[in-house]
Amino acid sequence: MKYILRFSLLLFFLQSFFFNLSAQLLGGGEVHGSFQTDGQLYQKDSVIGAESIAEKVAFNSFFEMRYINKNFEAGMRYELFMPPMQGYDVRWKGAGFANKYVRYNGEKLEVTAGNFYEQFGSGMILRSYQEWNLGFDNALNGVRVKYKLKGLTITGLVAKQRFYWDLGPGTIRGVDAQVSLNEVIDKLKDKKTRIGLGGSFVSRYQTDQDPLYVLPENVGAFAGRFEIYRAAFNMKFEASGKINDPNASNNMIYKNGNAALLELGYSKKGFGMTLQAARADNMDFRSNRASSGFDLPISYIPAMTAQHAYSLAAMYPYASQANGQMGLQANIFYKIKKGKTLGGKYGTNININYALSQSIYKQAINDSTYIGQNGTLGYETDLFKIGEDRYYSDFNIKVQRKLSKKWDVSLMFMNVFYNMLINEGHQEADVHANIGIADIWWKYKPFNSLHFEIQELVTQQDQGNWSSVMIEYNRKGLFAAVIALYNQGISGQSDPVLYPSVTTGYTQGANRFSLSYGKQREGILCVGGVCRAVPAANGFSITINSSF
Amino acid sequence: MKVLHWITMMIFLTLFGSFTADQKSPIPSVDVKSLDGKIINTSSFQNDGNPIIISFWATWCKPCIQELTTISEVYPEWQEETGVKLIAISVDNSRTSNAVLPLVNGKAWDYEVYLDENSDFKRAMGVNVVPHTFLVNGKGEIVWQHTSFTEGSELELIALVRKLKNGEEIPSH
Repeated sequence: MKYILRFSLLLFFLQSFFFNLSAQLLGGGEVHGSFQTDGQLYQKDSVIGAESIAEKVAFNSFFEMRYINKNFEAGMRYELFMPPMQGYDVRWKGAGFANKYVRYNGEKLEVTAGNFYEQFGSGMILRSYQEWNLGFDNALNGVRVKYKLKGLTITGLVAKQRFYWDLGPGTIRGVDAQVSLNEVIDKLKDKKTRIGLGGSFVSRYQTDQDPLYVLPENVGAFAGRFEIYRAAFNMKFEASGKINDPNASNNMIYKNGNAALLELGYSKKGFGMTLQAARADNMDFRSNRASSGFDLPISYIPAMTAQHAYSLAAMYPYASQANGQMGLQANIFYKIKKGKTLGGKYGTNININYALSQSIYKQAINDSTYIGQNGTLGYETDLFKIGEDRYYSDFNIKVQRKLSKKWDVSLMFMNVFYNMLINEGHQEADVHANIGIADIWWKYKPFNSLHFEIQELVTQQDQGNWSSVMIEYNRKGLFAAVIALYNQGISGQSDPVLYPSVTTGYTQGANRFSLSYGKQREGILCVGGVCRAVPAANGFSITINSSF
Repeated sequence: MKVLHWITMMIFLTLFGSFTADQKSPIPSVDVKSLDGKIINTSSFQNDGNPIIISFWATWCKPCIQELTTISEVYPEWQEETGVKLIAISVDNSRTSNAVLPLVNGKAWDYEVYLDENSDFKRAMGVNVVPHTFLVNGKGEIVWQHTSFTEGSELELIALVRKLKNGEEIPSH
């Protein structure tokens, strides 16, 4: 008791000390922050495989604050997982100040010490980022310096990566330069063509304690990028490489890695398109060579496919294969003008998207070595030869038209191919599915709307057909929605399952509160005027969100 | 280490307590990228003394697209009446950011659009879910914020813009 009293007194003095300090030394400044709490009360359900947990209730929560005063900034984020909600890694369990930093943000020089996030180019050889709702955070912990001149930014960093409540074993050193030629070279200043260049180098140091192999302790990766814009055209090219890095994800092969991305775009008012081609070979790069899954990635090679916001369209998402994939994607946006036959009273929006991902070509290095054999160079490949295995394809078309002041309709069709072994890691029949969606808004009076969403997924594989119906009501900040998701199952293999849920909530300013009850699959949920990733749930769940 | 945590927390609580909540603050200084590759610092956002709307959105966020499409229908009138400018910040990462330029043009939006690929500006503004909209007054101070878009949200927004234009104070939420 005495101890607690003393401690409180100490805190009180400290507090008044810092109060004076802040008032006198810092002279003003501002504090901003935000927080989010998700709580879930679990109910057991043998049908959907939900378990009740010993604690009955699980919480994921964070509270983040930033203090800014002229060129000085400091911030911290407290996180709490007690215990983590189901669907989140159990290693998150715990609480504490997970993110702390101080920063000097001058006109030319920016220095950050502590935790920070960074991306070089598209992230091919370095990206640290956070996705709270997905339970992902590979924040860097160290020092970063940015030096900015006219048209030139140079970034250097030394750091370790966050690994749940610990740090990864590898040390990351990185440098990046980004140049805007039009700003650096006076002659190009007023030219219509804009050119950007960039280059980066990243190295990971991790000791070699392997009893079997001699492993490189310093693994270097490098990347270069080029982008050009002229009137309606644009082009981007980015390529990267990595020296040999035997690791858990590539079965300990000594092959070098590389990746490339090419993007061509044309767009003017009313029409826009992009074409992309990408290839990645042995580019899984982590700050611990023994890690796999979502642990400690340094490189970011995303799935080059659309990110869908309807639950059934998002049911079979592609899992990017940094160690070997070749892909193509085309995206077209078109607006049929109002007044035309097909345009209607307000115009009609059309979006067509196609994405394909295949394996890369692989050939054994000699007769006595199998492809991907550990301790060898793994395989030989050809940059322009496409592998035989199809990993994923998605063709989808969306048409949206405002029919009148009160009615707005969107229709979507999607055809998806999903390789089970590559995307989920088990031997099962690959999924061929067709999906149809109708999304209808009825704004029956000002500030009031009803929203109907009907989705149907048809497939002979996996769990068979799915249907989903949602009715949502919105009135100013208030919303309520009923969702019924139904899985027919496959006769003789799996039983039908119904996932009913109700959700309601209220938004005022940047504060939001929502409450749900029922069975919910994990995925993206767009209700009450926002979209967010949600975990699988069964029972009551509550979410509070606030920014200030 | 525990003690250090407490001390840092106390510093923050104290700082927090010593500033009033309705304080007006400038736009934080973060680099974002324009759709023709220019690096722009967010602290340089300005609109000749007229109000600015900053809207965080993403290509995969349906309510965000609804919000920006709804406003685009009345945007010319809003601009004429109040001189307001809308700056749309895409938080798409490098997986989906390639769709931003064709989408913006395909939908014939007239906004100033920037990419915030690694969410630096999103973090600096304390945005957790999209859409999230801020109002900035003619002096470049953030005076209001709101999350979500539902039927009629745009009417509330323009009403506040009109107040700002007339130099009236607006409630922070």
